[in-house]
Amino acid sequence: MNNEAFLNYLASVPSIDSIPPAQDAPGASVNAIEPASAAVVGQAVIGFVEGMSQQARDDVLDTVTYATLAADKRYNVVTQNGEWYTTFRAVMTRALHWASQDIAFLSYSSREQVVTMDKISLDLIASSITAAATGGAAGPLLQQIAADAVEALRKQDKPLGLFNSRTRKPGGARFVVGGCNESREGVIVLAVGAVEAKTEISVGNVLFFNWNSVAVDMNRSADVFVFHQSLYAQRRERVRQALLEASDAAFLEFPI
Amino acid sequence: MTHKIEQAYLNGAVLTLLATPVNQSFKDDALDCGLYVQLAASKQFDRFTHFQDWQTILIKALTAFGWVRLDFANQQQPISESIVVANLMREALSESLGSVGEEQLDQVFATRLTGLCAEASKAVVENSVQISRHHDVSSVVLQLALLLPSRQMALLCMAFETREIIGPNPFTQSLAKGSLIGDLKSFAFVGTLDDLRYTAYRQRISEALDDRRSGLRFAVRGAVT
Repeated sequence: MNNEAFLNYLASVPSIDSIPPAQDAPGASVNAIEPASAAVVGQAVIGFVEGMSQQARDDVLDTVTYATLAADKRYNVVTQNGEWYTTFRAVMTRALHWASQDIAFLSYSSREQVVTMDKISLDLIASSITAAATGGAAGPLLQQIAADAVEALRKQDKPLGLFNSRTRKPGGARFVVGGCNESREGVIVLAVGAVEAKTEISVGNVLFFNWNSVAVDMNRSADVFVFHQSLYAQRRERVRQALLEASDAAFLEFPI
Repeated sequence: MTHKIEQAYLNGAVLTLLATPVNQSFKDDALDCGLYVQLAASKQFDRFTHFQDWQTILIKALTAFGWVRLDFANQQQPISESIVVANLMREALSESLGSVGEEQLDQVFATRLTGLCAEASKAVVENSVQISRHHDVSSVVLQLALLLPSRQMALLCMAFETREIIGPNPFTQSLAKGSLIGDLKSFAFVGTLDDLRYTAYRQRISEALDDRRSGLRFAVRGAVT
């Protein structure tokens, strides 16, 4: 694809607003308005190497947030386990100028004995970096950065588990762990490990919960993305605008 | 590591306790976001007359503005004995708060809540009790939030109606079974504030509250040691 064709293609990428909300997608039955029916928890932890430029950090956070919102809007982790990351990845690569190194690690397992999600996520990053071999010298650094970001969470208090009685109700969780580095030449690499899990119990503490004794459907994904920041620069304002509009929607829905 | 509860605010209608050391930016965000969603929910529904609808909007607004829900439970049950709301809330929190000293909680719930300063007491009653037109029934909605150093919040809310006159401290007042009308409705929300998500709202929420914050939030003396 030449440059012009590529830019034309980019222009045809659907906007975030054109992506149907989760309840319109087939199979989605959980209504976010009804808080007791399902517990979906999700968070992203991105670690940055010290010294990254402010612009790079802003761009990484903006793109990850945008892709997360787009995937959240389209897929519900409880009913459509596994699709969330596919969408996240598609938005990152097709709309936001992150080039995946084509080594996306994907696996699905049902009722597998697993340990904790932080370990899974970090293992995923490690294996994808090894497979890609594109992290180069930054590879171990990316792993370390992601591990540090997770460790910072772990050092906090024992997480709060109110009503931690393991009520059986459909629940799902997704977790994204990432490590990001900008080389001296300005090449920005982001290693991401994502876990989507579906379970029949309510889990209060996704990242460090010991899933060993719990029946869980789990999808694991990992990628190493390289950022085409100069191309993204052409979209930066649009993404900012879309994020602003997404926040506008919340204020319109909940005026005071 | 145990933490102490050393600060308390009446934030809108929510008595908010802070377990130190709470990060200053989390404290500001949680208080502002907490106040905003209360105002938003109350704009749509009267919590004293439409508790369930109000609760739904409140939880929905919390998650819309960046609170990641870790746990949620609600219930509606007949009242079979005399109740003290503070005891019920204390019980709900007891299993989960390993990081906050049991003694601290006991102190707050059993001792210090009884000693709310006059100003706080007046504001709590004003914000939590609605008396019927004929002055024979009080509708009560009591809310308590606990902010933890781990950027987590537990929000507890209990609602009921009683024929008793509500005194200066509805949290610690013993409410006789015979005077209570209908069910006790309650919910608990546990969440963590997703900083990435809240970044999109922080400034606008803060600005929206600029004119209203001073009349709706103040530090509470007497609730803590």
